[in-house]
Amino acid sequence: MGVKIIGAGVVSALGIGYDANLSALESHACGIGRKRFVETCLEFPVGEVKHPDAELQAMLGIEARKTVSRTALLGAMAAKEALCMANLPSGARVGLVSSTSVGGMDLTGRFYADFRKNPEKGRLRYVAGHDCASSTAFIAGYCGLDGFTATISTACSSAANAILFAARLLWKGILDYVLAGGTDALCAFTLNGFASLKILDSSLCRPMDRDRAGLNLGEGAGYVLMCRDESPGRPLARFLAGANANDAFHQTASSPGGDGASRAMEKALEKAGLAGGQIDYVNLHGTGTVNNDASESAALKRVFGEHVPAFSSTKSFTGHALAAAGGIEAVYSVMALREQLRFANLRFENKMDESPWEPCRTTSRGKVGHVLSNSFGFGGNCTTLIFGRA
Amino acid sequence: MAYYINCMKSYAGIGRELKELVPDMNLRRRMGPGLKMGSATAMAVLEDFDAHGKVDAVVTATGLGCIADSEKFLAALSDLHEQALNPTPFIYSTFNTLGAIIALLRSEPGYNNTFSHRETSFECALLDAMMLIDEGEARNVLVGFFDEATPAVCRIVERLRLGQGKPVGEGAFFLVLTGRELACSQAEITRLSFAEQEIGGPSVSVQEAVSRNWFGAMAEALHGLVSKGQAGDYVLVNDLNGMFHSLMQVRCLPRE
Repeated sequence: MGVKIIGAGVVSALGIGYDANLSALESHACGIGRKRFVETCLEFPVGEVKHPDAELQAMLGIEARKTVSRTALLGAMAAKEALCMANLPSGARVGLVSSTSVGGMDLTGRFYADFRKNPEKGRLRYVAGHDCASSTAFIAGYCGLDGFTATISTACSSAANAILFAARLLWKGILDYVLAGGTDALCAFTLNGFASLKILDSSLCRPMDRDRAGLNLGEGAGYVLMCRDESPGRPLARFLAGANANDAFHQTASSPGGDGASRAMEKALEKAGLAGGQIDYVNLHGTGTVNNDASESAALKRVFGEHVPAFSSTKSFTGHALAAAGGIEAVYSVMALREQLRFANLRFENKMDESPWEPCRTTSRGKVGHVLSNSFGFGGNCTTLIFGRA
Repeated sequence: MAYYINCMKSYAGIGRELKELVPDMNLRRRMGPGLKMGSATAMAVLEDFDAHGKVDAVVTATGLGCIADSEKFLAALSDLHEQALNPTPFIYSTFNTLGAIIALLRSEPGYNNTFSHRETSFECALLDAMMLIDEGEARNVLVGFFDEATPAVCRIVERLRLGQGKPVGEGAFFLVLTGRELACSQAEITRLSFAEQEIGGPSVSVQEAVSRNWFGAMAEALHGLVSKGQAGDYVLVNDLNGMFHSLMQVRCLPRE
């Protein structure tokens, strides 16, 4: 039973909306730079959405006096775009499977500094939306969805797992339409977390390059609206299959052989009924850390042998948007299929010692029939999604 | 399809020491209270289930995740002015840490997912497990819920006036869901619904059945029912905070 994607919405460091993101990817316009809005004293480059909270809130038509986390604002913006693009029949019941890694932590940070000094202090409106489901509830309310909702949180593979779970709800017949993806906002908590792990590059990140020195954090949201093939709706692309596997190696590091990653890719290919040679473009997890890119390269070799498809990491444009990354990159996969594009891997200069292949140096046109997208998270959580042409 | 609950346990009732179940001392030292309760319960359930089969997927659920670690990292952030932070609480604050620890301890390379969806976190995890069984992706799925109550959470809940004065709950529940009845099967889930619907006969209100205020209430009520061991059909209605969230129909199996 086929699943088609009839709407796609995205917000990232490249801009707000499908068209803005596509045009930046086509023109090699990198969205990563100096921080402007995130409340931190760290000076690492970040992939920020180029609007402060108040502007996002105004764009969404939400009263300024309401307190909403940036995570929820970004999510609502991308989800709404996907929903509007789909042009659903009236009365369609739409479910929502969302995801986030730290929920409303951007506001919790503001609450906690005061609360720590005195537990009677700290503005409660900053902490009321802390939990992961808070942004999901906000998005559902903003988009007028009253069907089933769920929230997944598996670190950096969250949105990919949300899309996979959502597609299975369609296959099972539990839902007819479902909006799925993820959202995360930059905040001091995650920036400091990755800084303490010493995996942030103090320059612009260089995924898949010999001299890569870590990742840049980003933010944003990406959602796709999916339904079964027989439902009304013009397809932008198809969701063919997905798979999740666990690396079972280390809490944060990936295994040198890419065990979990290769299992996720192999399982997804098998479910999609595709041979490796039928994949035309791989959108990598490709964070830019020494460990991830070596491990993912080893996995590519195990899955595709000597015939590795064209691949790139669009995190070189957006930074790593954590839970949202899989959603943003699902939308980019839809773009790749619709526009027949393979995206550039910016700033690539030298092949890695661990890999004989070069990523795509430029965004270029060519036949793209099937796209494979990887998302890997802490805790060895590896997810692969496969998309096909409409 | 039929779905069976096997070897369901509550942390409060495992009667075992964490160090027997998780021998790695360094890991035990790094884990916060939720991870300790969760990993101990999961390991005890798996020990029981080992004689009946191997688990091939792990789905966990949590309301607030490893909130003690989140707080620790937030505190260090503010005290140390974003300098020279210890990454351990950050790493362990991730919501899927428990699922990851189980995968590591038991070398489980299969499907591993985590839901954090307020009142219905546990039901979402059960639904995922049911679909895995339907799809043939897994035969035996470890499903569990955990939450930890820190003094800060209790204080904030009080200040927000949530939970009608009930104490904030914490703990962990795990079970193995299978698609066929085994010697260790305790109950069958005959319906799980997220939409309000007519139910013939009496039902149990989770709000009334559970004396603590927490997102683990449905898991706690299910465990209460299953461990009582009285054969028969029951309907659990998740009506936390006076709203309908889900309902589950359960057939408790006669004990040998």
